[in-house]
Amino acid sequence: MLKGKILKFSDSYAIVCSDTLAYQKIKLKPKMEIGQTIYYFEEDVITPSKTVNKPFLSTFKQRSFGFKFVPLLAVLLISVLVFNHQHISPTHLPAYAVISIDINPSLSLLIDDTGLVNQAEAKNVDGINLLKQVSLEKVPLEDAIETIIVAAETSGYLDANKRIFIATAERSNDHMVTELITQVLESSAVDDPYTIYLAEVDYQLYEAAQEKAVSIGHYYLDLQTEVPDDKLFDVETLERVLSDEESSIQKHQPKEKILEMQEKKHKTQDTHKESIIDKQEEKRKQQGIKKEEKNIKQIEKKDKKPSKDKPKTNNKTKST
Amino acid sequence: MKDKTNDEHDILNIINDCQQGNLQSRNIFIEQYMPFIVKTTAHFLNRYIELENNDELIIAMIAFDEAITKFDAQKGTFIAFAERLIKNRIIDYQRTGDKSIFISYDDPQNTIVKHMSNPYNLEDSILEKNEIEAYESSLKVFGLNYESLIDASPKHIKTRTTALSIGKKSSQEDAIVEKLYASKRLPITKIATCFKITIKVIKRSKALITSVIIAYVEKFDAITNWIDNTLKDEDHVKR
Repeated sequence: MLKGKILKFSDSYAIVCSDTLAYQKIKLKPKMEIGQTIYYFEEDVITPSKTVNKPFLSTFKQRSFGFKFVPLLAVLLISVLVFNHQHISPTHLPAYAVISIDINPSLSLLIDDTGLVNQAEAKNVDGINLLKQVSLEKVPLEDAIETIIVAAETSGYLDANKRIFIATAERSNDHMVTELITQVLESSAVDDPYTIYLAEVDYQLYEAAQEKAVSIGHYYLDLQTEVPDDKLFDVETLERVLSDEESSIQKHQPKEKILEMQEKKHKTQDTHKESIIDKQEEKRKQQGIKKEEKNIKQIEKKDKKPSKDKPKTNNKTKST
Repeated sequence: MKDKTNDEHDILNIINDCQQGNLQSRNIFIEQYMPFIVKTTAHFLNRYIELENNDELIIAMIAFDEAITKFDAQKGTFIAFAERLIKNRIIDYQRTGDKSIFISYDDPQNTIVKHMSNPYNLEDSILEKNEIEAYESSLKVFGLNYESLIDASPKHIKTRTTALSIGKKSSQEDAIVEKLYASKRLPITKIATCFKITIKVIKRSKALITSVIIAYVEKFDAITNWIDNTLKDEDHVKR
């Protein structure tokens, strides 16, 4: 026998809060009112499993022979799963998207099409240690990112610069996952002043990164810069890549900083409108020159490297 | 596992004891059979039975007590006899419309009387209803509602009680409350460091903890009294 307070009605159920603060749906009966404290029983509770499983089980009960084969079927299923493990293990399942998070712990998350984490892979020792603390499988992507950042902070992995590098690679180019992460970063999911660099890279990078046993973010930065591995995620390196027009990196700063920057920008716009326009024109010219130089460099690189190993980024594809 | 005849034999022994005047034994027996009394009453009336101020439940309890007194083992099982007597007494009560209830035996542990306490107050019940509806509006600001709490609340009672306790303690910490209301998200890190709890514990009860903090901060007494009773019961069980 359970005790509960009635909180809400819908057309087909009422919601009660039990005396152990479990929120439950119960069947509707006459003379119910919000705020009433009532006695109810397990059979009054509406659970999804009750409605789904009952007809299935009752048909099995009617055909008693069916039950005799259930253990046999289970054994067969397990043996099929074991023998085919190589082919159906999560690493071989095509992921909808791959995300890497590099703080110092380096992690890769394989995301399914419902936005849940299918598999979390550690790419360095710190990553292994971090994954021991958190459980990410079947967790929504937004929560997974928050969990990783919070765990990294409590474990002391986030340094004084508080920078995080996230790379996304989506199988279909609909940018859904990147947009989702951007929303998380723009909301207050991360409650401390981190600077987060977010890069959208080509899905083909994933296989190449897997071969080198590094995260896609690591592999992407490795391609963009020529700095040693230990300086790959330094703020200077990230800022240099960010300033490169061809890179697909975005920078997310805490809201307060952004507001400050916007205020400063407005002030300078009021006083020096004309000079800014001139500077912008100058900048555009310089950027045009830079772009041309980069194109030449790229052509030179293409000549040096064999074409099948060369991964592409979205922006690169656009530019070519 | 006990079989049915053993159970019936035990019941007969207890009833004999009660019929010979052991009041303590009678009270314990009624208390043990409360789920049966409530279920029989609810089934007969086809509605849920309120914990307090429910005349039919009191009639049913008195009828159960009468069944103990009048039961004769040669006329069938006790449960069938008690069930029939409860139904008959409720029918009598509904027919006559007699609203005066007499307890015909000593009730030292207030087994029946406690169900009669707290006279019904219409004003209080309207206030409580308004408060419950206002609470859901407040939850919505944080992306929650009663439906979402059904799925988000931990299934295990111990985990839920821990979450209640964390939520209540967090509601007393200004830094946590300010952060929650500013960002509309539970400041997991702050709570973890403040109370030295693992993130995992907070994470799995995120919605419930948030709802508890809101209830205490915005002073929804109908909810907080309910939570306090849960925590009190849990403390009582631990002791």
